[in-house]
Amino acid sequence: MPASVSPAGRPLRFKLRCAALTAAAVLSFALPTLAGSALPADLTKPEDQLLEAVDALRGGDSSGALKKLQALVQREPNFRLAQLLYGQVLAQRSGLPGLVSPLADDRDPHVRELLDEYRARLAEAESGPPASTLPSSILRLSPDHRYAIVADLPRSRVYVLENQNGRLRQVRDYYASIARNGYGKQNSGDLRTPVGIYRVTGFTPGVKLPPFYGAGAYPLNYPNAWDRVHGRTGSGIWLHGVPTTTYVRPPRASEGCVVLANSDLADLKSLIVPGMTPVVLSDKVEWLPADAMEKQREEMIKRIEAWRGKWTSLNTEAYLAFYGDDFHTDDGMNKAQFAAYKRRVNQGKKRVQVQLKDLDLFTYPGEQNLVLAEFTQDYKSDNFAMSTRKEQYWRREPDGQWKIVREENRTL
Amino acid sequence: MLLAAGSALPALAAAPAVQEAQTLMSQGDYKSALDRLDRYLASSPQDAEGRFSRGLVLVKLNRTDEAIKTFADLTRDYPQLPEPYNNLAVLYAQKGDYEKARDALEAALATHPAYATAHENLGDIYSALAGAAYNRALQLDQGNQAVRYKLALINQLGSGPGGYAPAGTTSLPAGSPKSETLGPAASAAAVAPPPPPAPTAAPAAAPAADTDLQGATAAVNGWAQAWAAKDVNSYLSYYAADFQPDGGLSRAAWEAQRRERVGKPGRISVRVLSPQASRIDAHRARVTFIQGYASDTVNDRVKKTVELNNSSGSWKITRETISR
Repeated sequence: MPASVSPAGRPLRFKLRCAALTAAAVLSFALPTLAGSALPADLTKPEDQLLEAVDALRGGDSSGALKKLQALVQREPNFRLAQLLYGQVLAQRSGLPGLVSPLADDRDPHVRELLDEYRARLAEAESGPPASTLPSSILRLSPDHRYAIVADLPRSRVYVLENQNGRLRQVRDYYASIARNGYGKQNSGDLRTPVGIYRVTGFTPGVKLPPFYGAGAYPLNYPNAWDRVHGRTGSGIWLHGVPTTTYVRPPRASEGCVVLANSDLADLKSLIVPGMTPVVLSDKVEWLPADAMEKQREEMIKRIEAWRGKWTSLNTEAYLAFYGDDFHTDDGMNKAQFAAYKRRVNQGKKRVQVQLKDLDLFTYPGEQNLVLAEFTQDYKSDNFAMSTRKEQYWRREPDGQWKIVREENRTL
Repeated sequence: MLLAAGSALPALAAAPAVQEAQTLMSQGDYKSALDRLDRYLASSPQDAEGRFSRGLVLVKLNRTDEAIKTFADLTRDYPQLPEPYNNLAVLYAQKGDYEKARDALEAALATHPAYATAHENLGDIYSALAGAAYNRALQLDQGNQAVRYKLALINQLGSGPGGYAPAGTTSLPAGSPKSETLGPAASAAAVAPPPPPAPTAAPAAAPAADTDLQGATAAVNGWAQAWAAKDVNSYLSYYAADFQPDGGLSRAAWEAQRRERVGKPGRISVRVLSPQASRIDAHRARVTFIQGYASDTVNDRVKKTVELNNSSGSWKITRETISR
């Protein structure tokens, strides 16, 4: 777990870290391009205020840092990391030698947690997503999604992407806390956060929940179809807030949920559409220029269109060739059973019409060569009509061909 | 004392009535001093010197809220004077309102950046605020901690170097009876002369030649190290057989209590800051120091005085007192 400890293998003490910070100051320290003091404090995010204070400290301006931290702890008295830094700057400025900093006690788990949070926030400020890049996992987002959420689990970060007619743009990012044992959930009780692609299924306001969940909760549809393929168990994976006694929780604190500051959770309220909004929980977010995903997007769209073509032309054998040998339906048919079923059904049909719309395409996190295609499928035949929302998992086979390995349908 | 040009105060020494009141104060007759000042201020309500002295008397009489109002009014009427801000800060700090205390000291320093007393006091306020911030950072019990820091601060008030009050014995704001004339900017610290020795404090530190006396300080350092290391036997070995515990405990009961407390698990640090050693007589010495103690739950500083005896050949502690 200690992915980012000091070279000595232990969390750094503040004084040491100050030296490290100064050394690192030659790196470009990308502060958000806010107009600094020109903006009223409540428009600056608490995290940005914290980073400005760190920046002031790095520049040797401890009185500037003190002022910023003072304003910050006044605004967010439960921002524990800010209090720690504030205490440290005060202690140094007091000039009194006797005050012992909690940072001197690196065995204290509370101190370690705060240092972990500090490193996570600083890492984001220093090496967050480059400008005009997007998470490579979103190949296509249909215009009916105004927003998508991407969580970079190891980096304790949640991003919101805005979708304007298929053109994405990162519009928000938040510090987030994940499960105590990290990510890659397999079993109920393993205290891990899942890696996968989910959707927000609803919203429960904080008043209807124990105080522990803070401003409210957005449940996710874990375990999804792919999780079930892998026999993953557990439930109750939510995005939720924090109790009012704290501003945030440490980077690794929950039992599996993704936990945000209450103000950030409230901020999501206007962006999330329950039942719709996709949430990518990723073990590694790769940020690429928008056009870098184009090739794979076109390849997948072409492939899906070819599959639809074989289906509507009732070319059943060619259609079945799009399915992998280990394909399973969501109601338990294997490839042979599915093939027999399709042959029987298609035999009686003279005419099949299939229309696909609202296509989303994601490369699946935690997997090599897996793409999730989600679309609305309007099916009409001589004697039957149905609209469904389909989740289709495509895997690139060793021969380079993309094949369907799992399908799941939701009625609309 | 001269007043700085541009001051709102007349360039005169304190009015005779105020000087009288100051004499009464120095004699400990605060009620009469207050009466005298009240009569005087009835006819000269704007006299800053008189009002300042009245504030000090009110502090002596424990009428803190009135004293705060007096100094606050002075800061409003004479914002260029740093001393009322400083005293206001000390009173706020006594009430545990460190943030207001900080604001007042910063206001004093805004007009008088070299005001040494305000700097020292600000250091203490910062350290108290730091303690409170640490507690909030680590989510320690807020109620208990607030009380603890308040107590720690009161202990620091008037406890020598870095303390608030120039008067060494009590937690008094700046401005001892002898120097009530408000200081000119040129010697901003005039109102806060160096603290006289506290009652328990020793005379000046011994000259370096007195190596034996250095041994007494070394013994105190050894004692603190043994304590910090939780080496109970070594810790107790620094005490003389005839050591008299403070607070009426028997020697045996005290030792049992110390064994239990010093031996408790958990990391602590004990620091001896600014030790001052002096002779009492041929075999006895006194060491006064600031004791910085910190554990997972406690972090405080007190002024401590220990008396040591070397008639057995090495320095042993015979008395240990915490002074306020």
